[in-house]
Amino acid sequence: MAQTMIGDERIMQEVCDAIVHTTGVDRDSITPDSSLVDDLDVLSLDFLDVNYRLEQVFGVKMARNFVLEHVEELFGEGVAIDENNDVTEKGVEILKMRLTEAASDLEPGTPVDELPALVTPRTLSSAVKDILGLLPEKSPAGADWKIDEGTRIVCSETGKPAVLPSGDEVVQNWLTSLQEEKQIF
Amino acid sequence: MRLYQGIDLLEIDRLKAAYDRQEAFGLNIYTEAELAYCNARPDPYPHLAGRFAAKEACLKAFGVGMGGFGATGRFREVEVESTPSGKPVLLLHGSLEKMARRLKIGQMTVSISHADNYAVASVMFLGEGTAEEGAAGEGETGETGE
Repeated sequence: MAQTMIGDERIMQEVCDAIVHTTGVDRDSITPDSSLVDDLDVLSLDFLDVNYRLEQVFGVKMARNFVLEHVEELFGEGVAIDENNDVTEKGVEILKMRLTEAASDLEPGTPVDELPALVTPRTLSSAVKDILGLLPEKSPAGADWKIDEGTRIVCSETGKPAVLPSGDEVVQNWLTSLQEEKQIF
Repeated sequence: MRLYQGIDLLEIDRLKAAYDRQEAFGLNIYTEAELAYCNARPDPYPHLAGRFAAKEACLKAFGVGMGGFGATGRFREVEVESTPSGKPVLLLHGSLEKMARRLKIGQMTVSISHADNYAVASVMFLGEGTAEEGAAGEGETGETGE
């Protein structure tokens, strides 16, 4: 539902704007599949700032923990990352499902420290979309939603902002559903 | 034995800008004890920057970086505790504590310094296992990181 309220292009535009504002990188140098680390020289403080800007723009809470950390918390230590800090076969399977194109070349045994390079504007946009996509049909007041200030979803009657699940909850719910459906772990 | 090393250099002004702009930055990155320690200083920012650099250096030593994808939760899993003498000590929590166990890390040391507009931190771990190529967590940002 939310994807139709805030279109994919608008989300991508805001992601790129957040990167530009944070890093000062030339807007024209950003593509949906640019690696934030390898292509745009985004550093850890910048990551924090990009996420913060997206949270402010969309009224969401981005995930604080990495998807493989959630895997290990839910399904056991060593399931996604082995004793050498490399991604396991199941970890790769999860990342390919979660990150699709960005992880298409990922192989088991990839060191965990190579994973930040997989972050792209497209993966950040997907993370925002996943959260917005869980917008309830109606607001708590039973009213429809509307877009306020361009990118924030609010109740059309009360003007209160939509309360959406956090990025961490989205990932945990996705993993739980996936496990119920496919018994990966 | 295997040696793990990480280093991070940070501009204090950049940390200050992020800290002041993002209302939840402090609680997202630091433990309450760290915030109490830094905020008790006449100028907290060099201390906040030093601790941020220590956290980043620790993540580099582990070879995980911050994980990207907004995985900022890891910063709170590294805590810099100050002993009465002022010597910093690393405490690990959550997934990093588990990772340290998995890698059979014994000793950990951290050193922090700041001057002018820069804070720097170096972290070393000693673990079981054999030395491998480099055995040094370079982190996601290259030689100097940030």
